[in-house]
Amino acid sequence: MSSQNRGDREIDIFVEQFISQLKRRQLSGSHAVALATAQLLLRFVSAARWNHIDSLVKDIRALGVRLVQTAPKEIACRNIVSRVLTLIREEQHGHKAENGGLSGSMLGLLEKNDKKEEVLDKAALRQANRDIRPYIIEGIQDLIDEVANIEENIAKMSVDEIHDNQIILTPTPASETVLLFLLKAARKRNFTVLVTEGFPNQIDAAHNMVEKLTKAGVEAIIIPDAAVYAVMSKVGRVIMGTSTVLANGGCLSSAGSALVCATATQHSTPVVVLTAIYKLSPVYPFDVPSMIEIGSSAQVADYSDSEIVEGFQVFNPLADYVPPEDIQIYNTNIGEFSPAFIYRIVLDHYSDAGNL
Amino acid sequence: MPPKKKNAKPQKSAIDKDFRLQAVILADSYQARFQPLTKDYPRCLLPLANTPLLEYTFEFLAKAGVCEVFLMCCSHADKIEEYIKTSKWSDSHSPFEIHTKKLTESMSVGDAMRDLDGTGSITSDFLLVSGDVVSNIDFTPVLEQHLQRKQDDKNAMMTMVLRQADAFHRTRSRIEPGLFVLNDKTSECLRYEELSLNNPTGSIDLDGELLNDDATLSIRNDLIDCHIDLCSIDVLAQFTENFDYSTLRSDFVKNILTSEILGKKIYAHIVTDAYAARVRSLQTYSAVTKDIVSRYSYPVVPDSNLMDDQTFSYQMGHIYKEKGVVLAQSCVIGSRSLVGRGTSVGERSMVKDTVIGRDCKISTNVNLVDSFIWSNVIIEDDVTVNGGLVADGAILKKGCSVGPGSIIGHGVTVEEGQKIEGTYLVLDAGESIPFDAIDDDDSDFDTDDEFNANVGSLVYNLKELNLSDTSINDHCYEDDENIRAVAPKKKTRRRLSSTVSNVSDNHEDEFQKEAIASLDRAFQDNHEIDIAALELGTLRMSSNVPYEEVRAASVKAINGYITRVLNMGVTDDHKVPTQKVWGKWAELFEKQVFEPADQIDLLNILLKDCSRRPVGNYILFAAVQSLYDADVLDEHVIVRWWHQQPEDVSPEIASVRTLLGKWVTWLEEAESESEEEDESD
Repeated sequence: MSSQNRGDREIDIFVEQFISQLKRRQLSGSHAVALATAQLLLRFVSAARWNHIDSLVKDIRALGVRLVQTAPKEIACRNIVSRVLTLIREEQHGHKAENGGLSGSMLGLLEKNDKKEEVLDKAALRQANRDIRPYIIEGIQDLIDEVANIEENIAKMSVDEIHDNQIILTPTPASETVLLFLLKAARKRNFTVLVTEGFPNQIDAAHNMVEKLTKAGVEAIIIPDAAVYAVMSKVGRVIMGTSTVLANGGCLSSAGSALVCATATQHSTPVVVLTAIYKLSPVYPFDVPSMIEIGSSAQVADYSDSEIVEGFQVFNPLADYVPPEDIQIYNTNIGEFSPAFIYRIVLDHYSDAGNL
Repeated sequence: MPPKKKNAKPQKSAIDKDFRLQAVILADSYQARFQPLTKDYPRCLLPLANTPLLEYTFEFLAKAGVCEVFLMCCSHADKIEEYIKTSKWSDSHSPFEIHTKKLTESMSVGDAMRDLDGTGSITSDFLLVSGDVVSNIDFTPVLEQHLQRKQDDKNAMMTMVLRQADAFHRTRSRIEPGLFVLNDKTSECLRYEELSLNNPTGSIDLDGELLNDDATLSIRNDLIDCHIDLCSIDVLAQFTENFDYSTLRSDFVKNILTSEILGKKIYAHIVTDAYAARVRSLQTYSAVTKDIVSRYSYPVVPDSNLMDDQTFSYQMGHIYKEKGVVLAQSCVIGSRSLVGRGTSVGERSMVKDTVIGRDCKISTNVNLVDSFIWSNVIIEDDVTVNGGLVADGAILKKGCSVGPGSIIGHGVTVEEGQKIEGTYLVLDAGESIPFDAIDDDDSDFDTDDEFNANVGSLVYNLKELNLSDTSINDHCYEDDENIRAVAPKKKTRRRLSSTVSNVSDNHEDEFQKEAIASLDRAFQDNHEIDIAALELGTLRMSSNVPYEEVRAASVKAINGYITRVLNMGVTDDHKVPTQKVWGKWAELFEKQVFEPADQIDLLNILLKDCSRRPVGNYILFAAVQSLYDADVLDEHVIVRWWHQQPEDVSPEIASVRTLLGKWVTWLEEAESESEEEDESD
């Protein structure tokens, strides 16, 4: 790795630019960040030179640590790095996991556990002389495809989830996944969508969503955030997006959604969270405040009003932590899971090798 | 799938694909508002929320998609260059290329612009910012609109970015708040006025023609002028053509807008949803820090860790802590606080609304409220800092207290138990304040009272003023003349040393003649002093002579005029006309004399000139007295000069000195008397 050739320098420039984009929040939102991170890693692996697979793992881990320090709140970024590290380890161990864990069911993994050790030694020997770069790149490419096309997969299940004449409430108007899900359902079902306003950060997104839904022939209504409790008794299902699903089965979603979910639980209204597998994170919410990004105060208080600016202290959290008790089911691209089962899926997708 | 490219902005019609945005940063403000903090350190590298000011500007430019940056430095240019070299902005992954230009001779924004025009490096429309801008604005629409306007109308030469606020907003500068007259429909700026104390009526004159068009006008005194300007290349040419333009707003914008011949247009872009501000004084320094800490400038916030070595993390209540902060169990870090790496806070200490730099040692039972503590500060037990600024390396000894408006300079030691309130301390590193010297007029301190009052109250005493908004300029209480007068000190010295050697005598002779002629016209037609000074300044710049020559010419012209008046024989009394002329024109020297050496030089010139004139004795006395009254000459300088005079002088000079001698003696007595009075107080 010592040789500072052109390829290395180019990738350095790319990494630095990526980091500054994260810092400037030019890159934000779990989907965009996940996609960009995967692409960055693809380039990184293509450009990197290594003698032994361990040095590649070391470099990627160092990069991952740096990315996490830069944007500790963009957990999708961390997830992708962990996924890639897991993937490299699995490639190294002779495609073993490919047949079982990564894309298949978790039950298969349990069966194979005892055989692992002996295969490992043989595989290591075999791999020593083999260049596994193309396999890793292929694996990352698959990951990129997975991230890019995930919404379609989730939306497939929309018809099962939504019934005719049902009233749906969504507290996450900015979620593309939710929008696609509803649009897909609208082809076969006739239903009403209530969209919370999401003051102050999501007002534009809420208007945008309602406009698109109305165009597709769905009756869509914006309601104030405060009216959620009043309408909840009429609501048949709460459907929301998320930015990160945590290992305990809780999730991080846009600010205001925790209140909606608590209200739904009170009314025994099912809460369905739509998520892609890449949003699953091995992180436990031991320190919730540290995961929540605080946004611009100017969104809440008018900066041009000096009395407000000088007299008040304003907080504008961009996310909410929704505890697992308030969520009925996760609807993912590989199936539906209860929050209590999330830890198991996390184990399927992340190995110890992926720890940062 | 191709990876996402940086700076990949949507290509709109107005922005050409090959358009490379250039930016010019004016690193120097050509003001002295941050003295003494800027004595040894460039102003644009002062820490704002623990990050050098310039970093914020670079960050803004990077976000705006700038490709090439010209950094115009004046004072401490070497230090700035050194900083740029070691920063991430000169790495290969920097989004833009930086050219540092050292203009040690430039004395104003105008000089820097003229120099830039001379190099021909600017090839198209460029972004002109000062090195202290903090902004999170999305620049693409501004650029698009500017280029669109230029396509539609060739005379559109500049777009100013202005943040809407209100008249008494904390982030709006109180020193020269700008008043803009805008066309509501086209957002063309029609007039610009700087409000200040010099305008005691509280009114401005507007041209009636402005109202003739059917467009609606708005007269706005609620805009934060953050000095982010998109300029066409014409702007540079205008500066070169009009070499008396020295400032960007009060000279350039004002003149362009009032000039009918040029027909150039300047537009304003009013920002309502993004943050944009400029740190131009201590008042705005305090305000912008608060804005950043309260996240109005998001995502330009401390926990974005703009610098690579920063490790800030956010905690509820707008508290930012870097890694490696040591906090005692019983200390309290209150809201809107920021603590840098390596800082330790002792037991029972309280920190609130305060920014603390790196590696500070804060002992037990310390109270820090609403203050700015820079790096490497040592604060001992039981100290209170309320509303003060403590610069790098200062030591606050046990039990002392620093009150609102106080600024503790670099490396200053405040002794045990001292109470400092509203004082403005300028001390060299290593010096400490003697216990009994706080109220004394000790010459170690820069106790220019008026200036102190300005700076101190700038930051802290604005609340009362905010209450009254009866008159526009009620709040413009700073005597900005005072501030300006201090400004050019340093630069003059440099200019003198650099130019004096290579100026040809021929030049100087010509200058003398022209300057005397110009002043004579001014005497005859009874011009304003400002106009005469401007003419003189223009002459000085065009013939590139040092200030000594200007002073010599001015003295010659004034004394010559007096001689002529006396020779006309209208009156026998030589005293009244002499006093009248000197009384009026003494102020002319305000812009020619900056430091004690200049004063002594002026006195020598006077002595020499008067010795050759009839009634020179009296003229010298009148001149020195008038100059003393006009605050051009300081009493201790006069006294010193007097005592330095050689004893064995020619009889002419000795005779001229007699009258002045009496006056100086009187001056000395008066001074010692007043000192005695002071002591007895």
